Amino acid sequence: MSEQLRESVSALMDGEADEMEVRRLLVEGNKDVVLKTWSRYHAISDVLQDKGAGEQFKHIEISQKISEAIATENVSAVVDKRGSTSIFKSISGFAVAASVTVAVVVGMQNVQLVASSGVDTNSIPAVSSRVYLPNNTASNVSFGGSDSVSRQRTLPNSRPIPNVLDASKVIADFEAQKRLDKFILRHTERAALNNGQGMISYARVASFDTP
Amino acid sequence: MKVLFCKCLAALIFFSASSHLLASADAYSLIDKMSHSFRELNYQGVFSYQQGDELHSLKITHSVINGEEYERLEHLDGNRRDIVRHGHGLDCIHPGHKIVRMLAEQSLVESNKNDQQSRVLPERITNFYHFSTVGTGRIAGRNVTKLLLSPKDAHRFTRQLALDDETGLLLQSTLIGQANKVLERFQFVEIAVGEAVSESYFRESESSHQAPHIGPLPESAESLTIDNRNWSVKWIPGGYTPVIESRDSLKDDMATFTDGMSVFSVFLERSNATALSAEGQSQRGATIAYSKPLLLAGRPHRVTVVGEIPRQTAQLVAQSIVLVKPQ
Repeated sequence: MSEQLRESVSALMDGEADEMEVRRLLVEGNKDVVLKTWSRYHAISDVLQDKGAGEQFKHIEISQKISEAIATENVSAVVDKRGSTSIFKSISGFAVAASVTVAVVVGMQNVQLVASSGVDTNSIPAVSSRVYLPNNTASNVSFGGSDSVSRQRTLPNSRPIPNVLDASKVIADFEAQKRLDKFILRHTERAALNNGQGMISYARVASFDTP
Repeated sequence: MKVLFCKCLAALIFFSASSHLLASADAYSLIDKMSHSFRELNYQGVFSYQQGDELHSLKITHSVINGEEYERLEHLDGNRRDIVRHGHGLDCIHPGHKIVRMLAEQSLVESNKNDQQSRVLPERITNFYHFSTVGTGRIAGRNVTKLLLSPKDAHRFTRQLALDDETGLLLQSTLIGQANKVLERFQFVEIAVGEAVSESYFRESESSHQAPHIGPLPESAESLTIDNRNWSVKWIPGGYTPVIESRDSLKDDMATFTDGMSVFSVFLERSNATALSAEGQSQRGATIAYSKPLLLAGRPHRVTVVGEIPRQTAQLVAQSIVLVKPQ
């Protein structure tokens, strides 16, 4: 039932709900599910459309909530034993988590990480934004086996994975950025003594955290 | 008639060749003048600095007090921050300056060069840049001569410099990358030359970053220091000379090279985190930071090249790191 409701909420958001669906959504008994789903779907769409830009750390809470919600969905899908569709859901759930991570990280960093040298980097702008390719997520997506028992065993363990991944990536990016800032500062200290421009070279350094 | 034509042609060729030489000689002496004036004069000015799509305003103050440079660079936009540096004696000449200052001498000494001396000399900067004067203009209310330094290989950027006619100070500089893309530009808006500012102005405040002065190593000790490092950069582009700081402050993890205009540094770290296994790069204006994991003596390492050089050059340098001694 709640699955149908969620689909109706999604249809309403897209402006595609028919009269029957709107009536179903307005039934008092469905209020809790509808409101929860409504706000969650809006949160997802806000993150994906980068409406939270400027509020740098907002995404941490959002992605946590999304991940939790996704994890709950997976469990319920397993419980109602609907074979192939639930496999799809567990994968697509992680796909949503992965794309949220990508959107969030792209929005907040300014270093470009290239996962493989095959990526064309000629097109990077002079002030580039970070593109993070979530290569770890691919391996996590593949865990969903067809037999529900094995999934039930793996799910409790897998539940915190999206959060841990998000956090560790953000931390790793932050650390990488700090490391880089340090290198740029140390480089500039020598460059300023050797490039004929002196102190003006320090205009290039964005951060002065002491090494 | 034919003879006259040949004579005219010869005269024309001679004239154009000599005027070309003249232009280069002009450019050399201007560059040489610049390398002295920015360190030896008192000046204070405001400049704008464009890095990619970003534009910043900064104020620079430079005074020579008791034979030492006192400098302060203040950011006029955003958070309060400034950089101060003092204790840099005018007689302290770093490898980068040496290359540039030798320019003028080189063009004179050319004919009677002595073998022993040429071995000590770093490679000529003129082998790697074509220098020409490209016109005159006005920057920050002062008359300038414009120079174009076009690289002769792919390992450095094109530079347009505008030098103050009176003092030789660099008033505008543009770094141009591939496809004539402007990577960074700095330009004085206003500058006052000649007035010294008192020492107290250069005291550090809470928002200050103290820029260290890293003394160049006496030449006799250079080879010793290079040998002491347990890793080595096997390939650097022609024209770049190692910048070696004093042995006391030598950090094993860093090596810097300059051609007198461009500078790049190589950092080598032992890495244990698999999380950092990706190749990465970041570009801000003309500054590239290229980072790459590599296995040296069976151990994971990470090499990072930072500098105002093209990306491909940074990659080539990064690929050439080897260990010369077991760690």
